[in-house]
Amino acid sequence: MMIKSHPSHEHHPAAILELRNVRKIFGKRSVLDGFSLDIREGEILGIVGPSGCGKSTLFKILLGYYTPTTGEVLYKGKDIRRNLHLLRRAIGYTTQDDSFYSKLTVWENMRYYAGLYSVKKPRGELKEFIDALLEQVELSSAKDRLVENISGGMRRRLNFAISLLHDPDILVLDEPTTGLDPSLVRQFWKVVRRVASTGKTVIITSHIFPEVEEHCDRVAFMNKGKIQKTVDVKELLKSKRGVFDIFEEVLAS
Amino acid sequence: MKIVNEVVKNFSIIFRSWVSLVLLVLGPLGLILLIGFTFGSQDIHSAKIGMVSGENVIPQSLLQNLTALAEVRQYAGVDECITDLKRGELHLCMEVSGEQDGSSALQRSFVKFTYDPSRAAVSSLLIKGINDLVGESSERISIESTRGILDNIQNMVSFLADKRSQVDDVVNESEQIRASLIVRRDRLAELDANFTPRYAEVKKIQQELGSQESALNSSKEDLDKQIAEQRAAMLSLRSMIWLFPSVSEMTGIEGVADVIIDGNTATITLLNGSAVVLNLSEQQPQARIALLLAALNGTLSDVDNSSAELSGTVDDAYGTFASSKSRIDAAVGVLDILNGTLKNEIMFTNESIMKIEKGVSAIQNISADLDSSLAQFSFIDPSTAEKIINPLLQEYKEVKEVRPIQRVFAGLLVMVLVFITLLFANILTLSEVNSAAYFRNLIAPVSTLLSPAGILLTNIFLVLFQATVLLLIAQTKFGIPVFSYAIEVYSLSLLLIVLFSLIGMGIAYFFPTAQTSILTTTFLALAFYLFSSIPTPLELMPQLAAALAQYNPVVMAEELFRKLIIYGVSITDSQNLLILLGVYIIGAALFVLAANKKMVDRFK
Repeated sequence: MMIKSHPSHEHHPAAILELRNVRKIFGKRSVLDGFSLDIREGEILGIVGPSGCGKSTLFKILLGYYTPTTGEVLYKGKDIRRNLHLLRRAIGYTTQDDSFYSKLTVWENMRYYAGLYSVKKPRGELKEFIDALLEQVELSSAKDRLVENISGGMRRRLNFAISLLHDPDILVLDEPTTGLDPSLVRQFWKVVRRVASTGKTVIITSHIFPEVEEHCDRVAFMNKGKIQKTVDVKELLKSKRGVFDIFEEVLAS
Repeated sequence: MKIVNEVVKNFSIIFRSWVSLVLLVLGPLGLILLIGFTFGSQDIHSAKIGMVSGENVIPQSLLQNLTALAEVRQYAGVDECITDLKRGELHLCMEVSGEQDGSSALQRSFVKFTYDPSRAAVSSLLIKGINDLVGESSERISIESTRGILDNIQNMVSFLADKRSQVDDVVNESEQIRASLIVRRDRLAELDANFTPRYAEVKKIQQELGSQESALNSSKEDLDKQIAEQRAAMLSLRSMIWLFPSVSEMTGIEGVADVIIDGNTATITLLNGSAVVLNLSEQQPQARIALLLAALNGTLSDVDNSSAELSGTVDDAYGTFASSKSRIDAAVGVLDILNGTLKNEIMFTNESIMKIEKGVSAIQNISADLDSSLAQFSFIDPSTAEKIINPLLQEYKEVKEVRPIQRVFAGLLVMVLVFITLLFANILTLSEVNSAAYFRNLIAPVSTLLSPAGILLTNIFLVLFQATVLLLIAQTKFGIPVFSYAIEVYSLSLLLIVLFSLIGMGIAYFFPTAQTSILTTTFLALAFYLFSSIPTPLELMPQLAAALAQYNPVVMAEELFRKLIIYGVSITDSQNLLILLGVYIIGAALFVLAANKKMVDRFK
C-alpha cells in the first residue's frame, strides 16, 4: 500500500514546492503579480480568495500547465521548467468537476489512468492495487458500474482516487466539495484526512471556510494576483479568530 | 409575433459567430457553387485515344477529326494500347485495319474500338463523338469515292473513244503493210525460182572441180615422186662420173665448160666461149672415155634441168588450178549465203504477214470488246456500292467484361472510406477533447501527441474493420476479386484512412464544438465527393475544375483502386499518386499538430 508514515507538522519541514516572485501576464493583463510561497512537505495548505483573484492560474502553474512569465517554481529545489515530467509525476490533481470518461466503468477509468501515469506493476498486482485504492475511497462496490450511472459523491471520490493512482507527493484539490451534500462532504474529507495522514502534501482551494478551518494546517489568502497573507490555522483558531475574518481583512486591504 | 421573435433570435445567434455564418450560409453556398463549377461543362476534354493501324489505312479526314476531339497516340501493337488503356492512360483503343481493292477511292476501313467500361461515362461520350466523326467521314469518303468513280468513268469513256479511232487507223496501216509484204514475198519467190536452178548447176560444177582436184592431186604426187626418183638416179650416175679423170686431165684442154658428142666428134665448149672440136677416134681411150663421160654428164645435167623445169611447170599448172578452184569455192560460198538469205527473207516475210494478220484480228476483237464495254458499265457491282455507302465498319468491345457493381465499386469503396474515416475521426476526437477527462490528460506526464496518436490508431483499426466488412461483401456477394490484391487494397486503404483520419481530427481540434465540427466535416466530405471523378468524370468537368480535381485525393484513390481491382494494375505503377498521397498525409499531420496545439492552448 501507499500509506506512508505521518511526518511531524510541528517542526516546519522543508518546502516541497517553492514559488519565487511568480508573475503571470496574459497580454497586458497581469493575473499573478509577483509573489512567493513555500509549500511544506506533508502539510494541508488551504488557498482562499475571491473569484478572479488568480487561484486557477496559480494551480495551473503548480500543475506545470502554465509557465510563469517571470519568477520560478521549484519542486524539491529543482526548477520545474526543466523538470516538468518530474513535477507532473509528483502531483495528483482533483478538479472540482468530473475529469474522467463517463462511458467507462469506474475500474476501466482507473486502469486507463494507471497506464497513462505509467503505474508499473505486474498484471495481477495492478488489479490488486486498483482494488485497494477503490476500497480506500469506498468505491469497491461501484467499480464495475459505468461512471455516468454513479452518484456525484462517488464521482468526486473517483476523481480523487485517480489523482492518487501514481502515488503523488502532492495532492491539488480544486474546490472538491462544492455542490456536495453535507454527508458527502464529510465522507470526502474523511478520505482526504486518511490520505493526508500518509504524508502527502495537500493543496486545497475552497470557499467553505469552516471546512478549511477544520482540515487545513495553513491557509494562504489570495487577492489581486498575490498571496496577501499566510496563517497557521491552529494559531488562528487560538486567537479566537476565523478564516473569514482574515479573508475580509485581505479583501479590505 | 412570437414566431418572429424566435426567428430574429435565431438569426442573431447565427450571425454572431463567423463560424456559424460560414457553415450555415457560406458553406451550402460554397457547395452549390462547387456543383456549378464541377458540372458546368458538357464538353469532353483531355481525352486520349490510342490508335493501332497500318500505314495509310486510317482515312486522313477521320484522323484529322479525331485529333480535334482527343489526343491521338499511335501504337505499333494492340497489346501495348490495351495495357495503357488498363493503366488509365487512354480512354479508347482504336484498331484500324484496311481492305485494299486496288482503287484508292474504294478503300474500306474496319475500326475496332476497345474501351474501358469502368469509365463508361467518358467512354460512351467519346464513342458517341467518334461515331459522329465516323459518320461524317463515311459520308465524306462516300462522296469523294463516288466523285472519283464518276470522274474515272468519264475519263475512261473519252479515253476509250479516242483509242477506238486510233485502233482503226492501226488496222488500216497494218492491212497496207501486209499487202506490201505479200508483194515483196512474191518477188522474192520469183527470184528464188530463177536462182535455184543456176545455183544448183554451179554447185554441181563445184563438186566436179572437187573430184578433178582430187585426181590432179594424186597425179601430181605421182609425177613429183617419179621426177624425184629420176633426179636421184641421175645424181648418183653423175657422182660416179665425177670419180673418173676430167676432160682437162685427159685432154689437157683447160677451162672446159661443156662437151657435146655427136657421132665421132666431140665439141668442147670452153669457159671463155670458144669451142674445140675433137675426133673421138683420135683420142686416147681414157680421153675418149672422159669426153664421153663429160658429154654424158652434160646430158644428164640437161635431163635434170628438164626434170626440174617440168616439175616447176606442173607446180605452176596445179597452183593455177587450185587458185581457180578456191575462187570458185568462194563464189559458191557467196551463192550459198545468197540462197539462205533469200530463203530466210521469204520465210520472215511470210511470218510477218501472218503476225500482222493475227494482230489485226486481235485488235479487231479488242475493238469489239471496247465497243461492248463502252455500251455497259457493269463493273460497279453490289459490293462496290456497299463500299461507297459504308466505307468505315465499326466494332465496339469492352477491354474487359465488367459488371455494373464492379464499375462503381472503386468509387463506392473510396467514398465509404472517406465518409466513415472523416466522421469517425472527427467524432472520436470531439468526444476526446470535449470529455471531462481531457484537461486531466493534458497535465499527465505524457506527450500531448499521445492522445492524437491514440485517436488515429483507433480510427485506423475501426475503419479498417469496416473496410474489411465491405471488402468481404464485395468478394463474396458481388464477386469482385478484391482479396486477390489484398496487400495493395489494404495498403491504399490505410493511406486513405490515415489521410482522412488526420483531416477529420484536425477539424475537430480546430472546431471543438460538436455541431460546428461535424457540419464542417460533412461539408468537406461532400466537397471531396462532388469535386471528384465519382459523380462526373474529370474529362467532362470544365478544364480548370478538372485540372484542380485531379489532385483531389478521392480522385487519386478512386483511380488507383479502379485500375487495381478491375485490371490488376499495381498501385506502385502510379508512384506519383502515391507520393502525392504521402505529401497530403504529411500536410494533414502538420495540420493536426497545429490544431492540436491550438486545442491544448485553449485552456491557457
